[in-house]
Amino acid sequence: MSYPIRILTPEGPVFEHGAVDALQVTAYKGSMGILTGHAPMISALLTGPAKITVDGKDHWYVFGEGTLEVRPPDVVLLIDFAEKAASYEEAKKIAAGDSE
Amino acid sequence: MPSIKEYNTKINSLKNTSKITKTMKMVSASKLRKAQDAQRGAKDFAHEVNQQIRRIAENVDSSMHPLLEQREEIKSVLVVMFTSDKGLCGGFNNNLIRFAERFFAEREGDGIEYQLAFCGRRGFTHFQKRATVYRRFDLVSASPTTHDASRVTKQLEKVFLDGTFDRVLLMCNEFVSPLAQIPRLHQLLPLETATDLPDMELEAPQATEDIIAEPGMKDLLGFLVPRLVTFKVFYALLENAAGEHGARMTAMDNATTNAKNLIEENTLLRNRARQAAITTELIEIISGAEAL
Repeated sequence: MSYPIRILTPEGPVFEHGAVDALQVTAYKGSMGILTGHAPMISALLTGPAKITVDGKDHWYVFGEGTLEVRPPDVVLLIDFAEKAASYEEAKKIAAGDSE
Repeated sequence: MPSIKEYNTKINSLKNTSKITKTMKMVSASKLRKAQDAQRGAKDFAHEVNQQIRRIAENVDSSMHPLLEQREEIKSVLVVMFTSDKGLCGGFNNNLIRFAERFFAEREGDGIEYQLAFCGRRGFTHFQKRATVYRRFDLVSASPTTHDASRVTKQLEKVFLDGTFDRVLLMCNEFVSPLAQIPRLHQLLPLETATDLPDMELEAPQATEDIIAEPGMKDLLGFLVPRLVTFKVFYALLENAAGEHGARMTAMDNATTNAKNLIEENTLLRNRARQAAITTELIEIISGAEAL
């Protein structure tokens, strides 16, 4: 089961994929996961690590502040920036450095 | 008739001018490409932001956030003008200045105090002795960043919230193409939930289903509204930057063409003058020879 996702920043689109298995982001109250079939939702996001799972493979990112919207079947993220990272640890380090 | 030497000097100086304008045109073209990319990227973002606002707008009441509050009595209005820092960009700044002057002329005597704030030096230098200048933001118009935008926005929010101004308007050139920039007026504060960011293809708002808001709608607005205000300012800055480079490119292209035409014209005149000089000399020699 998968769903389409779009990630946009004021500098332009950074990530677009038609079939994402899962998404994990840093929401207002902590880490949050989105799977297929999620109810419509708008959530505030904070700067922090994020994980996108495509074809069983994990991709790590650092997302800036912004919003996540679940508009079935699409998921749209409007965030300040998105930066690729190699691992969760690295993403966390970048996020910590950025929020200082 | 001017002498050959005078024509030569003129042609040389025209050649130098056209070299400069040609270079400026090329510089502007490359800057324009960058600015246009930034503006296009932001346009996609704006489209999504608009749709999001549309969808949640029905659940929103203007009392839910201080930046949405419509004041009953409008006593003072702040107009923020976006112009370029540098000149030589055709009618780019002058069009906006004329637009502003018409705006103020139409509203003269309506009992509202209008003050001006500026992003960009050109607007400021024109209005500093003609109108009440509230303040001027420096070094933000050449290549805008979100950081600049948030710096400007913080100031604007502050004067709105503490009641110095009851309304904040943005006046900027909308970037249509490198050839066309249209002066526009947008309301920034209080923020309208029906946003006026440029957008033609908005989906019709769906019937309000239950959307989960995380955190609650009120906290979410507290988070979203300042972000949207900052983004609007950022977008205005981007339009202004793209417009400036586009206008300068067009203006310098015209200047180069004009210089070339003048060079051709003057070369023709110079050749004629030279020929005339030769003819006169010949006549003098021949008539001299005949006299002998």
